[in-house]
Amino acid sequence: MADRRRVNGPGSSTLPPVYDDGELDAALRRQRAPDAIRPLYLKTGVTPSASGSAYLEIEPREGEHGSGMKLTCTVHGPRSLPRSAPFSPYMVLSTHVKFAPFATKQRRGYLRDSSEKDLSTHLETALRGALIADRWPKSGVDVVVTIIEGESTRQDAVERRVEEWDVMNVLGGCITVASAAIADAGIDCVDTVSGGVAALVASKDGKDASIVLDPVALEHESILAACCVAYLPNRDEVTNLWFKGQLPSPASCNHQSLVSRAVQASRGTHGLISASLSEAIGSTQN
Amino acid sequence: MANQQTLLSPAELAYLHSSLSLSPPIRPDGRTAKQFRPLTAETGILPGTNGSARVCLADGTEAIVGVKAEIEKTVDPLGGEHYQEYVKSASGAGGGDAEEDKRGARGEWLEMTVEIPGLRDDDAGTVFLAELLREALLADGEFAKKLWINRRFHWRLYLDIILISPPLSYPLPLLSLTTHLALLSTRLPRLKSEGDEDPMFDDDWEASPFLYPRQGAAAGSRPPITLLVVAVGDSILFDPSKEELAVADSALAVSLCEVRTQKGDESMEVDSGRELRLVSMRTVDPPSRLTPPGVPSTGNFAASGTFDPSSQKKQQQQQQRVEEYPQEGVWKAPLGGTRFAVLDSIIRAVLEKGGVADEVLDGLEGVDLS
Amino acid sequence: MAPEVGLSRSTFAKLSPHPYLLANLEPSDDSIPPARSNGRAPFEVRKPTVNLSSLSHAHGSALVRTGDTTVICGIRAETILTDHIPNYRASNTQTELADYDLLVPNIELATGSAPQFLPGGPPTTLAQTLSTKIYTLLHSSKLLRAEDLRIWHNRPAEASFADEEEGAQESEEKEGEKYVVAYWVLYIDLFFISFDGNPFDAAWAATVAALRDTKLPQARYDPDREMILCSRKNPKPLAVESMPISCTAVIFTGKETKDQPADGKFWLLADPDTLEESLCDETVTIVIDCTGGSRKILSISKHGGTVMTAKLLTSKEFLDWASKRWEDFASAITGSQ
Repeated sequence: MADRRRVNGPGSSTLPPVYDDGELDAALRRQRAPDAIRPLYLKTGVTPSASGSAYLEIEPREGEHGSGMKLTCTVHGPRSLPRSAPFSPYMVLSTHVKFAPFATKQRRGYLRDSSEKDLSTHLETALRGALIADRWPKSGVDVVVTIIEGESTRQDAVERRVEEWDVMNVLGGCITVASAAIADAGIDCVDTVSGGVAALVASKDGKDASIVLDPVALEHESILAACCVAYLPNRDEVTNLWFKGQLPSPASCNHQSLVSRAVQASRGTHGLISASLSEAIGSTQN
Repeated sequence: MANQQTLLSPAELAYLHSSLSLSPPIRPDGRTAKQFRPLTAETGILPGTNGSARVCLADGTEAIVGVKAEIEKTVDPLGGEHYQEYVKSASGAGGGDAEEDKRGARGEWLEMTVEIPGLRDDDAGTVFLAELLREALLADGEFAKKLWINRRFHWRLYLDIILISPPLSYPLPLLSLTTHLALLSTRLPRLKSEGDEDPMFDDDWEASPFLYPRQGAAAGSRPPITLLVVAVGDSILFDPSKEELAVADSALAVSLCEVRTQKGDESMEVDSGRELRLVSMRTVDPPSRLTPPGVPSTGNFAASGTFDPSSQKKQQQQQQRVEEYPQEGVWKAPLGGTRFAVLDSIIRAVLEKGGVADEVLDGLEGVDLS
Repeated sequence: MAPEVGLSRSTFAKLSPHPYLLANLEPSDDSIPPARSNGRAPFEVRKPTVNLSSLSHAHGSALVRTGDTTVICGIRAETILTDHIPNYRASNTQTELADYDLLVPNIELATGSAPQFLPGGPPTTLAQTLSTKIYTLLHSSKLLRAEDLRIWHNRPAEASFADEEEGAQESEEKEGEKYVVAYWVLYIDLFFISFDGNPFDAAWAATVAALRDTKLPQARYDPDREMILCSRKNPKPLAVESMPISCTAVIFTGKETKDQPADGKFWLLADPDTLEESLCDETVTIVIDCTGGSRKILSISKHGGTVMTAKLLTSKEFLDWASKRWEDFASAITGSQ
């Protein structure tokens, strides 16, 4: 059933362009050190009418332009719940994550699909642990993250089926941008939560595996497992943990190091959030 | 999980929390920390499906899973149905071996729906459950290959998970175990045709192979199981009931995959050959964050019966202190996240040899697969 | 005014916006020039800035910012074979864009761009209205040539020989004939990042800018696989010669309710923000194109109220303002190319 409230276009389905000549540039390898995260650009206050907002841009890989990841987040509230809502002793948090139709290789629809809803649930878990929600009884806050541009620019990402790993990076970005927007809205938190991703990647011959921070799926031959954490650095606590994949050896210490490396990545991101927030405070005081 | 809010008073929550934090913990139903609730299970209950299972938990929750398979043409999402072949011939790899071709298997061939009474199927909680189960199933990358028929066709597997009782506790372990059994009992018709021609199947149901073979070299992997583990204080509890979940400091859903080594098959000692692999983990938002807080009697005017405006400031300070430092016996919803050490001990407890996961898998093995 | 009663200016503006705006527009002291609540003069607009090609997955994109209104437009091209178009007629070369729905504009406000637009529900009435207005204007302004969206194919000469036995229909067609095998469909998605009034002007400017930025890949038909194949080399830009720009103003009458008698006094507030839009009933939007020095009016629409007269709409003052605004936008769009 077509949604009559939108412009739907031609009745029968259309196909995205299929290219038969190869990529213009050769496959890129990771240039960064395994424990280096990509540079980020974070700015708060992009949507003045919202209580808090932030824009996050993860810079593209070296030698490539126009790629990278771009996210915006708006926070509305805390504001009173509608009259029909039941009493809540806490602030009710609701999160929405949506990809713009032009964010990914494949055009996305306007209705949220299951991966977007899944991301929203992850984000909610990550934020709820950080908020001091009992300071606002009977109120609600909406956190809306829009992904303007996702990752995996290129065709071979789809062919090599690595795009599923990019969801982890997207979640890491969502957590970071939402945390900055919540701070911009002035909502009390126990700490600024930040997202970090680490992955276990196999080398070219598939024999040894090593752990890298902030992985870009395209830069690696294959990813064996990945982990995304939402981390509170000052309390040394994890509010959300998402791990998937297969660990090659039965030795149980692999997951430990993967999680701790993801924590390390989020520590790096945290430094950036604090720098950006203190800069924003500095500019308002002057 | 808002619908699962318990109707326990702050005092009850505080009592429950402190008794569960004891070492060893005292659980309301008398179980030990690593004990599962008893369950009854059967498979092959739905004759119209390729595989099905039903599991009943002792608390009255019950789930059914049905698996249906259909044949579908393999269509490259970026091109026509011939595109894949075209790429193959263009790259000169025409007639590559099957293992190579099977890399074209896609996770999208598995369609999974979860139905929970009282929740919409597009509710975020339901979607989260479905994604969790799906991710565990696809994590090892082997599952989709089982659905591959030839280069032009594949099976599309519909996995319908239905909770037929009201969701009394977080239904994740129940749904996961039911799915595990249903997949174990799933059979697909035997392929008669060869190569890339249109598939023809043997109509003898008895001859149809299982999706997860029982014997032979292929009897390696098993469908994953997902366990829900909560941490309360220093104790780690498996298979939490609704009340226990309401006071949990943190909750973790851990999916495991059983890999059997060849040696285990030969010596027929299944237990010694079992190897557990972690395939996915997710924190689950514990409903305890939404429980009402208790008020300590020092800050409660109604209890002390006096209201002295001069001491108001002092009481405010006290209130402040209460907010920061929880008092013994006064319930306060947990703030912040989980320490890394706690997460780690949960994972260790799950992966422990001869631990809960082994026990559950042994129990499931006892279920008669019709 | 405000300090005497013990309220700060911003509090007063929030509590009773209508008298506040009126007091600002009609200052008691003649030495103070009339201004709006946001500090702008009545005819002063917010200066637009345009960023092109900021998205890598879209074929064309633009980010337009006027004051606190920010909109991002991404254009995606997909192909549709003419065989798959219901009621396709090869003879139709005049109205194919509209008949086959080749342009698909959609506006999303529910990104939390303003407190009243939260996701989770169906598109709001405003979002639907805006999408339809963009759709209508795209077709009526003849911004795009249908030729740019056609994908041609030469029917090979041997095709009719190959299937001779079933070729009753095939042989009717001339060999080597060039025909339209497919069309490009342009999905134009507009996302509001931030919303502070006057959404249509910003959205339309973003659409025009993104279309001017759009480059379609070279496409050809592969009869064996019955599909369109594209090449990454030398993408072809769309030919967008004209540059229609929409200019919106609201009319503030100074009376709070409709039943108050009109004393004939009114103010035209150009490029309104959210607050002004909520205080005014009457809106006028003019779409003009001054490319090449001549002023062409593509559309005038006026909604609500009765103050704006035909005389005023055609007055030199009003049209000059619109031309001035056109120049602002046009230089912002071309300047960023």
